[in-house]
Amino acid sequence: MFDVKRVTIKKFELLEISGKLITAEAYKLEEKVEKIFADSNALNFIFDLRNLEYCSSYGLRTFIKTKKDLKLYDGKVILFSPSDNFNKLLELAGLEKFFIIENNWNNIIKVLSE
Amino acid sequence: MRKSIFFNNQIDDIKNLTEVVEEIGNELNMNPGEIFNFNLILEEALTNIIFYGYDHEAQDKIEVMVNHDNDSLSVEIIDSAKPFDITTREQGAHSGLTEDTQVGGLGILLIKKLSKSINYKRENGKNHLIINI
Repeated sequence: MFDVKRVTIKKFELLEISGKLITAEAYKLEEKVEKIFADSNALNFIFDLRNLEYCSSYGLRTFIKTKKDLKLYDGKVILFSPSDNFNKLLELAGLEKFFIIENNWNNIIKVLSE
Repeated sequence: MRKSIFFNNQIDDIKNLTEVVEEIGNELNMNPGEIFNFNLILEEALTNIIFYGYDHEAQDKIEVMVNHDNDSLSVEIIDSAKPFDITTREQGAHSGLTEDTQVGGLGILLIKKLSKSINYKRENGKNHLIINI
C-alpha cells in the first residue's frame, strides 16, 4: 500500500513515502526507518510526503519516533510538502509545531548542500 | 443507505478498509477531505478494538454498520471484545498532545476531534460504539 524510496545525500537521508500508510503496514515503515537509522551515518532525515495519500496514527508514530531518536544525537526531521490532510492530522494531534515542515523544494536543496 | 460490513478481529483484515471507505464515500458524494476523515475515524476505532479489546488468539467478527439518512452519516461498530467505553476516557478533545503521548491515546483523540458525537452502550455482551460523522 505504501512505498519508500531512499536517497542518501551527505548528512541527510531523503525518504520519499508514497501511497497509503495504514495501521496494518505502518510497522514496516518503522522497521525500515530503524534499519536505515542503524546503518546510516546521517543524523538528519527528510521525509518527502508529496505522494503520501493517507496516514493513520500508527503511521504518524514512525515520524514521531524518528524525531525522538534523532533528537538524542542533535539530528533533525524535516517533513517535505505534506498534504492538507496530513497537516490536519498533525493539527488534530497537537503536533503541528513538533516537526519542521518545509514546502519549498529549493529550501530543501539548500539544506542538502550545506 | 444502510450497509453492514464485517471484519475479522485481525489487523490484516482491515487492510482493505480504505477501498471500502472510498467506495461508500463516492456513493455518498463525499469530498476527498470527508473521505479521509471517515477513513481515519473507522481505522482508529477498529484498531483500538483489535489491539486492545481481545485476549490473545480470541476470534470475533466486528460489524461496522453505516447509516446515511439525508445529511446525517453515522457508523455503529459492534464487537464482542472487552467492555470499553471510549466516551469516558479522559484523553482527547480538550488538550493537544505532547510528544510523549501514547499512540493508543492518539487514536482516541482523533476519533473524538473528528466526530460530531459519540455514544457507547454495552448490550447482550457486545460493545456498541455509535459515531456521528
